[in-house]
Parts: sequence; structure tokens; C-alpha cells
Amino acid sequence: MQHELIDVVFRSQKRRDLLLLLGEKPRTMEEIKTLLDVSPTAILPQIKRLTDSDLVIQKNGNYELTDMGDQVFKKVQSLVKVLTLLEQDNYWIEHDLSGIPKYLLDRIGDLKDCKLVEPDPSQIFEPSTELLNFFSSSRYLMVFSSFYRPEFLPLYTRLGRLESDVTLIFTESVLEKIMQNYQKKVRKLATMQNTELFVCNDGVKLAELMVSDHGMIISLFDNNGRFYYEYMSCSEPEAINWAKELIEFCKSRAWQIENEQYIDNFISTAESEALQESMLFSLN
Amino acid sequence: MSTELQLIDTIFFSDKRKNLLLLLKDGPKTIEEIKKGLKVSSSPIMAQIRILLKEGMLVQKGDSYCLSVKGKLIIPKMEPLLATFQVFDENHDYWARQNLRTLPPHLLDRIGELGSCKELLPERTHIFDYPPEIMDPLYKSRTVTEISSIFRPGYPSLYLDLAKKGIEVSLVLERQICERLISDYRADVKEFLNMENAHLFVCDQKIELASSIVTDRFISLSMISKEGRYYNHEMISFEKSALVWGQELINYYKDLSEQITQI
Repeated sequence: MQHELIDVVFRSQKRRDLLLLLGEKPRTMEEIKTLLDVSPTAILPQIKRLTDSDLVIQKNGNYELTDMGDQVFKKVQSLVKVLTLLEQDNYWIEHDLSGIPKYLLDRIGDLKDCKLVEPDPSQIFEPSTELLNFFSSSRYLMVFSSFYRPEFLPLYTRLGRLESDVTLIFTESVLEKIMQNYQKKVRKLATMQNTELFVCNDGVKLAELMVSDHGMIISLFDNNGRFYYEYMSCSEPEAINWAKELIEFCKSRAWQIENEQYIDNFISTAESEALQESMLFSLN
Repeated sequence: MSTELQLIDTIFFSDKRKNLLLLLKDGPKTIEEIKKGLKVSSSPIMAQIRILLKEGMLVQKGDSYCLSVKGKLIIPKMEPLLATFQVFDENHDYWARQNLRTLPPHLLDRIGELGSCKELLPERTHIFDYPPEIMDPLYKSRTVTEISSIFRPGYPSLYLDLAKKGIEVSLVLERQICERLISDYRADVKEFLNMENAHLFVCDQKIELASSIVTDRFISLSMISKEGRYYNHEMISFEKSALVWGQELINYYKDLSEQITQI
């Protein structure tokens, strides 16, 4: 009589860890011992249980997952990732996730290694040097921002000059404000070869998102729409990919400002009032 | 890696809690609706509700209960996991034996949608035929499609007969099977192609499955083992989610095929 898979996988933490380990790639007994920090006598009965349940098979000195084991692994992994994410930090349940599209929310476990970064209260109104340093010398940089952060503009132009690809997405009000104060800089950004500038409607439920080859940061509004100067940050490839996809999503909802004429248009409409529907279509 | 993940115990090792969470996935419920939905009495389920409230999986709003944000992030992962485990548990040896990679990867990932399945093995009297049990649901179907990489005895007589009964039938066959059908049963195939409700498709890609029949009533799979062996069988499911899954399987292969309208 076969045991139920749920018991096989979840009744023992060793078996669950083993399944997750072998899901990455086949391993020898030596590797299993080292990576899980276990003795052979402790792990062998668990391996046997997994092989008896047709989830693992021994092949050429390696232990590997069967087709069935691989399916079980995928399902367990996606659950464990979310549980790990939630155990790491309450940030995700205390903030408004509604700006994240469903297909990315389904994969929010990819952010499981994110750490909360809280700026020193004494520096809240200072330029965020930490972030500036983190993203300086990136090979590419993608930014979504619903904040006015003029201190970042030099970083964008510098990266642009260094031939890094830069994608910038600002909300209307942010772009408007930047235009008022730094029109020359924005005109330059919009016309640089490897820099793309986009504008999107206000009201996106996403405070800030930055991603480069160095890592990603995301900050969200809390459930009451308030914002605190803290963000989640991570340098794992999974999280970087996730953030890039979220940038792509934001981009698909935004309009590119392709040359100076768009800027002139933008300024004239911004002066008269907010962007009008018809204006947005012509930008398209 | 070895985090304790205590929530797993809370979620999985009580059927009551598991079912309660799945029930609330569809929206907030009052205690009365929960009792009715799970067919339980008040006090035992209240104990479970309290545990889930304490773990932050549920929140109470007025007199109804609903999944918390945490619950809403976890339950969508729990459901496919449970469904997959259930499909494997019900026919463990079968799935362990088969080469699961003969299914398109995106559908293999959703194998849980097959729901409750049953393996039909024909007796010796029908050892080369379709299992007699599927004939009744087959003739009651409005649409029937079979994709196949093996030559089965139902080609073309069974399908011709189904078509004559007014059923919308399609055969999606791998190139060599289709060629044999046309050369061995030329007259029947002509008659088949002349009917408005009968369609024949030829697939130039390898169909890795042995065969699959998908109708508006059931889906059945006939798979090849890891060693590449085949025996006559149908793994059959009547569940709604399985029909959707089956339709996608059909569409996947139809998109790789060309329709034959005359020979």
C-alpha cells in the first residue's frame, strides 16, 4: 500500500529538504551529506522512503528525481517559496500588493530572499546615498518611480553616458515636477541613444522599483496608501528577473517620450492641465 | 533551506482546516455557510477557525470569515499541490510507470486538473479494442476528438459510425498513422471526409502520447511507459477541469497539424 504523497513529503523535514535539493539537480550521497549536513544513517531511511514512493531514483551513483518526483518538487517548491517569503518578513502582508499583476503575484515567492532596508531616521530627507552607490556602475538600470527623486538624475545621465541601457518610467506628476526643475536634463535623457523615457498615469499602486545587474529594490505603499522610507532589496537572479518583468508590465501601461517634441507637447498640456485622454493617444 | 515552516503543519495535517481554506478561496462565508458547505457542526469548526485566525490565514469581517492577504498568497499554491498529489495518489503505480514527459510540459504542470481518474483495462474478449465501458459515454457525447500516434481498431469504422450518429468527430493522427489509414481504408476515409461533421488532421510532429480521446463528457489518456512499452488501456476522467485540460491538449496538437479535406 502506497503512503499518501502528502505524508511522504511533509511528515519529515529531511525528506522535504532532500526533495527540494534534488529538484535543483541530481546529487551524490557525499553531496547530500554535506549540503544537508546529515549523517548517512539519518538520511538513508529518508532516501529509501522517497525511492519507495517512486519520487527518487538512483542512477550512476547519483540520486535524482523521477518524472513524478519532479512534478511533486515543482508544487512543493512553489508553496515553500511563498511560505519562506512570508516567514522572512511581514512587509508583504502589510503592504498593498494590488499594483502587481496576477501572473507576477503568482511568482512572488521569487522575492523570498528580499531583505528589508530601513533608512536611518536622521537621513530620511537626505539623498539616498546607499541606493545611489548600490546602482552606480550598473550595466543596465530600469526604474519605475512615483516619487520625485532629483538626486537620481545625475546617476541616470552618467549611466547613459557610460553606455549602460537605462529605462525610466515616471508617473505624470513626477515627470511634470522634474520638467519644472530640470528641463534640460530631461531633454537630454529623452534624446540619449541608450536611454528610454516613459510616462504613465498617476495612481499606480507601486511606490518605487529599481532593477539592475546588481540587484533590485521594491517599495510599496501600505494598506492605507501611506509610504514609509523603507524598501525590500535582493540581489538573487530570481528576484532580478521578477523585477524586470514588473518593469516590462509598467512599460506596457506607459507611453514612451521619444523626442523633444513630445516633451514640448507634454509641457504645454501639463501647463494647461493634466494629460488629456486624446493627448495620450497621440503620444502613442 | 531548513526553515521550520510550521504553517505546513497547520495547513496540511487537518482535513477540516484544508477544506475550510479551500472553501474560503471562493469568497467570504458566514459560519452558517461554512457549516453547510463542509457539512459540519458548529463547535468543532469554530476550533479550526480560531487556529487559522491565530495563524493569520483568516480574517473576520462582520459575521463572515475570509482569507487574509497571507491566505490569499498561500492558497493558490496549496490547491494545485493538493490536486497533483491526489491524482498521483489515486493511481500511484500507473503514473510512476509512465513516461510523463510524453505530455506537453505546460499540461504536465497542471496534471492535477485531471481530478479523479480511473484506469480501464479491457478484458481478453476486447483486448485489442477500446474498453467497452467507454462506448456508452462516447455515443452520448456531442463532440469527440482523438489524437493518436498508434493505429487503433476504431479507425475508421468507429469514427464513421459516431459521425453518422450526428456527433462532431475529429481525428488528429501522426503522419504515418494517417497514411496507413488512407491507404488501407480509402473508401471509408472518402466517406468520412464527405461528411460535414467529420474532420481529419495530419500531424507532422511526433505525438508523444499513445493516444487521447477528448469529448464533451470525458477525457481519456493512453500513455507509453518509461521503457517505451505500450499496453491497451484508457485512463479516464469525467471531471470538468479535466475536460478543459483535454481541450487544451487537443488544441496543442491541432495547432501542429494540417486538416485533410480530400484524398
